[in-house]
Amino acid sequence: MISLKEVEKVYRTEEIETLALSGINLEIDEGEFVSVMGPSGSGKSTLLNVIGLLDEPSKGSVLLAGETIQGLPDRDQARIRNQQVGFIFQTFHLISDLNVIDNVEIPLLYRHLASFERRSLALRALERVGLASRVRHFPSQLSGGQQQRVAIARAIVGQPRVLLADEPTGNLDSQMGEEIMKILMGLNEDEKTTIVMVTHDARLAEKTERIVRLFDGRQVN
Amino acid sequence: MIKHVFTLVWNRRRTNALIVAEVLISFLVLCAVLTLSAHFLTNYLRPLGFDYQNVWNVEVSTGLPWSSIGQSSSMNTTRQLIEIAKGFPEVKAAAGILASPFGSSTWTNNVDNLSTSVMYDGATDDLPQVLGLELIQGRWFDRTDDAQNWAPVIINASLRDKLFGDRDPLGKTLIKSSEDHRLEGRVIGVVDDFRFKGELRTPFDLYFSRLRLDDTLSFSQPDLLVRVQPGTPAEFEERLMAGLNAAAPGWSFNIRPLGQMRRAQFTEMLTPLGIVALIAGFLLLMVGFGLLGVLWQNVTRRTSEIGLRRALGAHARSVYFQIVAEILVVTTIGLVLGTLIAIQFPLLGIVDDIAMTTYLIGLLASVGLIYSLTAACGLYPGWLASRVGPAAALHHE
Ligand SMILES: Nc1ncnc2c1ncn2[C@@H]1O[C@H](COP(=O)(O)OP(=O)(O)OP(=O)(O)O)[C@@H](O)[C@H]1O
Ligand SMILES: [Mg+2]
Repeated sequence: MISLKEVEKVYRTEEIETLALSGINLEIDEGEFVSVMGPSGSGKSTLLNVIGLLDEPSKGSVLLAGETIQGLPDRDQARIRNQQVGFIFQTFHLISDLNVIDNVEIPLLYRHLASFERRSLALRALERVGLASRVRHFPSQLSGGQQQRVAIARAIVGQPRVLLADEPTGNLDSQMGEEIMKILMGLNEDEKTTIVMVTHDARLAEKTERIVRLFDGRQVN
Repeated sequence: MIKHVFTLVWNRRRTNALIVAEVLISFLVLCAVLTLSAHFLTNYLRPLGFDYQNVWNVEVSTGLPWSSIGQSSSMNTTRQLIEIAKGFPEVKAAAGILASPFGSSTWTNNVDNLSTSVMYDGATDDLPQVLGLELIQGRWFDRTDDAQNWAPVIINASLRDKLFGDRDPLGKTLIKSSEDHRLEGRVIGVVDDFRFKGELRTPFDLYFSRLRLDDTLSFSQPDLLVRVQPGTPAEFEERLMAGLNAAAPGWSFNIRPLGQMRRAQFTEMLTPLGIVALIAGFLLLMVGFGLLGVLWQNVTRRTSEIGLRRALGAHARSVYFQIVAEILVVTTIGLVLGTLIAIQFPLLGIVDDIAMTTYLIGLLASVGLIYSLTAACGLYPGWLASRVGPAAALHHE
């Protein structure tokens, strides 16, 4: 499903050059649930961004669902992000001026769907995360856990085959974290969605099938 | 996507109300400035109908009370003055006129079949030679008018169109005779125009009546207009003055070239206008910068939203489209409100001096300018924002 070969990512700013990823070789099969661990600054978010086409690797190749994604024009990259990948962020990234259902519909706006189709898919996704009763609320009227569930609904509304979650429980207390984890595991089991999750929580990581550890941009095992 | 844009505009109504207000104010100010400019410009571009160059105005003060104005002595003196002026080799033609071009006096009268009063001017038979007036129909006053039992009048084209339309105006009655010895005014000629109030004034309807220097009934004390040879030195003014003073002891004269009077009138009319324009320009600049600031902030503040949308599958162009569409929707709301307010002015007749077409030009130009301004304020930051990579944009706070 996901295949990284000799991936390197260098960030260049005016003063310094940061080697965020170096020599990464990674194969993730369809339906796998992988967690990524490592100290702060070790390149976990960078890895996820490279997989999810939010950032281009400096070297090496990335294959997603059999497609080589380097050098694709913006339009095609956007299409792959839209159809193959769902993102979940530590800080939720909900649009505060849109209510729950409008937030969940966003990925579908970039597909050719009628508005009633968007509505019903969004409702189904919200049901999946147990928030069907809160569709008219605005993000500020929800708890952190509820906001993250909205973000998950948004990530799965387009039925992507890959979910990329960057510390999805990082801003939540452990009980809410468990809830989110339960939803992700459910998606992985029922939908066979491939999930890559960055986490600092070893207890959560242990529930996944495989742990990828990073240190200073390198894989350690 | 369109529905989504409207949802966003509505949900952000607090911020957007501010933009709408800014758009509204700038639009109204701009509309006023542009309409007035267009008004004065179209007036300015219209032909005056006469040639003021090398024509000198001689303002005449008899020093006599009003009651004696029609008296034969002043009439005779006036006739002598014109003859004296014509006697100078520098003078090509001279005539008497009641209201001089670019001067301050105006005369109005009621005309049959028109509810509003009409401007008129009185002039002697020589006026066309002095001012280069061209008749487009009929003829100017001459001696053949002496013996009539009606008074000849000459109208301008706009009065002709208003009163007679396509019919031949010559021989038609402009003013009916009345009990108190007033003669019937009958049209004998048409001039294209005689905009003696100057280029900046809106063209108006006008007629000429004949000023006679040999019949007290048709006499009122006129000023004199003198056409001099091109290149006549300013020094001639003194000699002319001396000649006039000798013929009319006790009278006083003020000689000024029409060109100079025209300039003085321009300054007088444009100075307050310039001040208004300056204030308006300043206001517009302030509001313009305000608008730019609000829109700019609105776009850059949303960089992380833009990153998010791109992460969720929007390509750069569609994000860009969405930003511009949002701004255009908000601008349009402001412009619709502004137009609704702006069209009240001509509808209520508050500015009836300004032609509807001029008003529309001002309105459309303002709409165009505001759209360009907001587009510029939205397009550039929008473009900058859509160029930021999705990962970087997401972390932008
Ligand atoms: N846009 C960027 N420009 C420059 N350097 C960057 C950029 N993004 C990340 N880096 C650097 O790359 C390295 C890896 O960053 P990354 O965000 O992947 O770490 P992380 O493992 O996700 O850390 P954390 O656990 O704190 O989220 C860091 O040293 C970081 O400073
Ligand atoms: Mg990180």
